Amino acid sequence: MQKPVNKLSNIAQPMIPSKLTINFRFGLYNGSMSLRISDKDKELFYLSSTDKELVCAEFPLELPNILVFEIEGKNPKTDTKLSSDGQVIADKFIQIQSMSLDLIPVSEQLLFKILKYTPANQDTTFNTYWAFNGVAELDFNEQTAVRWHLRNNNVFNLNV
Amino acid sequence: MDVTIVAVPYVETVEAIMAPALLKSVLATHNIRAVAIDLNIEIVNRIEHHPRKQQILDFFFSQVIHPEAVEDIEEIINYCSHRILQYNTPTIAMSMLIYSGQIFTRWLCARIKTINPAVKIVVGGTGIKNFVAEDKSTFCEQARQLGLIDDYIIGDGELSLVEYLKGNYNYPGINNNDWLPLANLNDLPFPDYSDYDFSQYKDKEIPINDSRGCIKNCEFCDVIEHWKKFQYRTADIIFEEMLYQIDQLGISYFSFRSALTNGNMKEFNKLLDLIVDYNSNKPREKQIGWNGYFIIRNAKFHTEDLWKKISLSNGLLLVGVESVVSRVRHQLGKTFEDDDIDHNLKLSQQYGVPLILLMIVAYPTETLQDFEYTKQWFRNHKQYANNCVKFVNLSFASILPGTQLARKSDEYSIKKGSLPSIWINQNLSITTKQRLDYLRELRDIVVNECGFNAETSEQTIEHSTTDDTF
Repeated sequence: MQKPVNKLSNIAQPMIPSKLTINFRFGLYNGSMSLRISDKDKELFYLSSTDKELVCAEFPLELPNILVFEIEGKNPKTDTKLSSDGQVIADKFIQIQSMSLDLIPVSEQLLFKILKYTPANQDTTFNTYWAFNGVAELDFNEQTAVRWHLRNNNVFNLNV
Repeated sequence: MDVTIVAVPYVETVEAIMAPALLKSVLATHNIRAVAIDLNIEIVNRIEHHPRKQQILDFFFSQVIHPEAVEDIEEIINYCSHRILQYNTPTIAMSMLIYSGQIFTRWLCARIKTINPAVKIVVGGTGIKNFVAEDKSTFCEQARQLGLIDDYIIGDGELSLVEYLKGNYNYPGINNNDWLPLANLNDLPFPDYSDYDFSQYKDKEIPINDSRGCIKNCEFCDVIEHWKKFQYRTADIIFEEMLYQIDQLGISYFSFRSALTNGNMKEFNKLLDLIVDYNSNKPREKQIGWNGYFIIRNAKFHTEDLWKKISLSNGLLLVGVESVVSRVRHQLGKTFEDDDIDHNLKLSQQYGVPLILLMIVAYPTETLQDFEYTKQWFRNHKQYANNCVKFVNLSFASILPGTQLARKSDEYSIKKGSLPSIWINQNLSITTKQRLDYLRELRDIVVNECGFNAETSEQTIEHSTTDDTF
């Protein structure tokens, strides 16, 4: 009888930092909000302002890690334009359009589940659309990117 | 080394996959150095006795992730990426035999490109499309867009991979559907299996090609839509390759990778003569044996002498009967008669030639009466169970995109569902559930009442629909 196999291989994997790619959409009204992304040790990305609607942030990321997004620069009194019936017709905001970790897209569904957003003086929600100054956090709580994707059931979209 | 050619998992086979070895030898004739890896067998063997084999297979086939198998899956991805990258070639060519490899290929490419973003990945093979005859290249386009692969090759790679590696990216078939078939199969070199470890294969058989395309024009078949012209290799060349591989590998059993072995009767007869002559003065263990697809012909072509030669050449035939109902069989494109089936069965039994019968269960034009006729046919032929008929393969009828059958759906009043196996002939109103019940009943009769061994595809049998229309 064959002995059950538990380990498939003992190959040491190269220690290569993961690469995170985030595509943001900036709502431009009275300029833009600023965005700082840092991990536990250092700043990874900073944008004080932009006149571009679409911005790509790409940087190496050591795992496990917690990313902190600091969103500033919005004056709630002047940076949202409302119509006469109270609808938002122009706004200053930042939104995550898409994200991939080591080339594997992170689904929107998962982001809405794990991306904590805490606007100043408000409760924490799970959102990829940030229209208030505040902080967002994303926990990459696994040793490797592949494992993080698998543990979070984040799979490739096969219905393209 | 210039390129690593790899057969990507997962294909449910314990046989060698030919493509990497063939491409390696083709590239060598252009002074391009390649290493050929059959990663499929490595993974098949690695998970064979794994306690979480089914969970791992669920990932390969459906991308279902069982929490307890996460580390196993990661290890497989890491193992495969390490195996491929260890040769440090600037290009990796991934060969995908069937579409189920698409899921794993995505994950594998993501890992490889993370470790070495500079490496070029090109994918090819019949598995890069969901259905070989469909026009869309959805998987390839998505993989390119995500940066998982650089390029893809549609159709015969023997020409286009060479051109690709020479930097001729505009060659037909590279990143487009307009590929060029090979002009002459006889020009191909023999596959170079020197990088394969044949001790890994449970079935010690050497893949060999004798033809591409088919001489028939069966409406359900996608092979004829892909390789529109029948091409064959001569018996002399095939036999020369057999002798070469026996000398190289010490294995004398061959598995023909083609739609049919007896497409050209002149060459087929000649090949049998050569093998019979070779076998005549050797003990059984040194003789050549083979298996391959075979079409039924009438007694004028399939003489007693032919069957005797198939027996002496140690042939095992996979025979596409498809339907035992004459009307249905003729309509789908198999033009042999009931008497021809009986003639071939009788002679195969007489000469001890093992057969695997390939049947399509519940073909779109079959009626409930035809179902009854088929059940009775097996009862009437049970004398062949394990006495020439080694297996009966019962395949649930599917309508593959790009086939003549798919194009004739309106003519047959067929309404199609979400999967190729989900459809209804609106004139007959036999639902998918009824067809599935029939498949199960037929299998039961074939196995338990008649004593045949039978296999059905578990995956297709699981197909079901909640839509009452089907």
